[in-house]
Amino acid sequence: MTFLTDFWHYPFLLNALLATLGLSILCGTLSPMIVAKKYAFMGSSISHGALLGVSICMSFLEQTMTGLNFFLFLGTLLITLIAVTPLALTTFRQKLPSDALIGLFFTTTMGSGILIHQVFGQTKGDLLGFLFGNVLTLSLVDLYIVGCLILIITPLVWKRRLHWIHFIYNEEATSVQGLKTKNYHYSLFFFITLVIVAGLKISGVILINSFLLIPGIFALKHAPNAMSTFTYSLCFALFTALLALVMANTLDLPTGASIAVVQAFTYFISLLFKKAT
Amino acid sequence: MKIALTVESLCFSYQSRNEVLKDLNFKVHENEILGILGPNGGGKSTLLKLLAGLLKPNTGTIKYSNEELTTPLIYIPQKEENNSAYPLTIGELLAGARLPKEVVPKDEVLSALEQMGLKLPINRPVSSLSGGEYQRVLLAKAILFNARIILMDEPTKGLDSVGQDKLLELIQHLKSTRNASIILVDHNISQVLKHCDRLLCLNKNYHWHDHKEHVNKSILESTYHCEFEHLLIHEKKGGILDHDHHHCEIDHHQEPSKGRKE
Repeated sequence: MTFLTDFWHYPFLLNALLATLGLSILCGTLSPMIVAKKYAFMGSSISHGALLGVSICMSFLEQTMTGLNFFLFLGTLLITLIAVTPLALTTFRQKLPSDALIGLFFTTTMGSGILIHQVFGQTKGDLLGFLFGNVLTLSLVDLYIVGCLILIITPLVWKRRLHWIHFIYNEEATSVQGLKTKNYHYSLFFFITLVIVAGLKISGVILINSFLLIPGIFALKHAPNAMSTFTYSLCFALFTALLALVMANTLDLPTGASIAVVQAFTYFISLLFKKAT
Repeated sequence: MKIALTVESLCFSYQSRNEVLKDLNFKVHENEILGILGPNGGGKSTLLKLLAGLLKPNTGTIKYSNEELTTPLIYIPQKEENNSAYPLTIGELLAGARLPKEVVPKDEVLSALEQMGLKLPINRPVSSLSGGEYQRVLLAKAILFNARIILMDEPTKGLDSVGQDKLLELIQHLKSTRNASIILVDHNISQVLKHCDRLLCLNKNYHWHDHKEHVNKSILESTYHCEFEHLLIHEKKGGILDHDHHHCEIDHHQEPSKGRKE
């Protein structure tokens, strides 16, 4: 049972557990909407774009300053939001920009991030470490950030689940009905960006996409109605994250990669189970 | 009859393209069904979106009777425009009929479905409904919303003739019992002639209306044949409208075919 008791004995493991479960709550809440809205590639694009923000902040923030982690989060968030704004503007009540345009966005921002880090911040930390994250290096500030986001985002989504569902089901018809769909559209982009930036250290630029997508894919496949997609997605995200974390700790595997593989594997098992029944 | 909607000198074009609608004028009364006909690209769905407030006209005005933004208006798009990824149920669709104000209680949802002649379990996914059932569920939504103006984009699409008749009879019933104004876009000339009180025929720069008593299916099919391009029919001319009223190079009298339908 040491693989369980380790979490209580080692503070860094407890931090990892709490942060991963927190990220599961956030991603589990947003994931069905991201998948249903067909924003999978968009989420990937935002997460890659966030590397530009990390790079600028790493390069220009003093490494010894007080509250570095918080300012790193805040700076990355602001820069990523600025970069994401054109995407949010061009997708409101429009057909999505072409795949090529989204690809152009994230390769440009990611490339710029790597170049800026190379020129200005090569000695100020490992930028590429953010590609896969490192859940074992989390600080209390990271936990507080995830906690605050849970307190902000989950009530706004869960209390208005029916509104969100109708907004995604038919944006135009719902808008005519009187729902301010513009607010929902930009809020969704804002929430996705917040969660991605908060999750960069936990699962990294690349692997956070499994967190953002697989719970939603699972929920949309198995939930009997739209309202329950949120519950299905949340339960799936929490269960798989916990399982992956225990597995990673027991077998000494990287956490982010373990979460991605466990989530995908669990989803495929669920498909086989559904087919069999 | 009281006027529910007035459109004056309406012009619209998408960015840097030719005008889709030019100098459009018409009125819709309460307790009336206006059928909009026309070929693809004629501006029918664009007009519906303008009336719904989803697009803004370049010039001209759209006025509702009470001149308030709160006019209970519902827009029923084609089924394909919905996001089919969500396993939305009938109950969830109708529960949201009055959003953002309130969630509709279950008993009201059941009552509205009953009024539309539907005895379906409310936990049934919307995606599993037939075309006719789906349209009737949306009419139930219009009832719950207490809509005074209902905009419908091709409601009879994919229905057989019996289904079309049943649906349009329900729409007529809704119109008379709720004193509603219904504006529907449809390609089915016979059904529009049979069930709509007035017509609006559109093809980009050309439009004409208010001649339902003078037109028949073959005349409308002929106008589809030349796609209204040279059609010069105006209200002021009056009288019986026939082939002589449009200046098309094709001699319809010699043609065995009734014309090209969309």
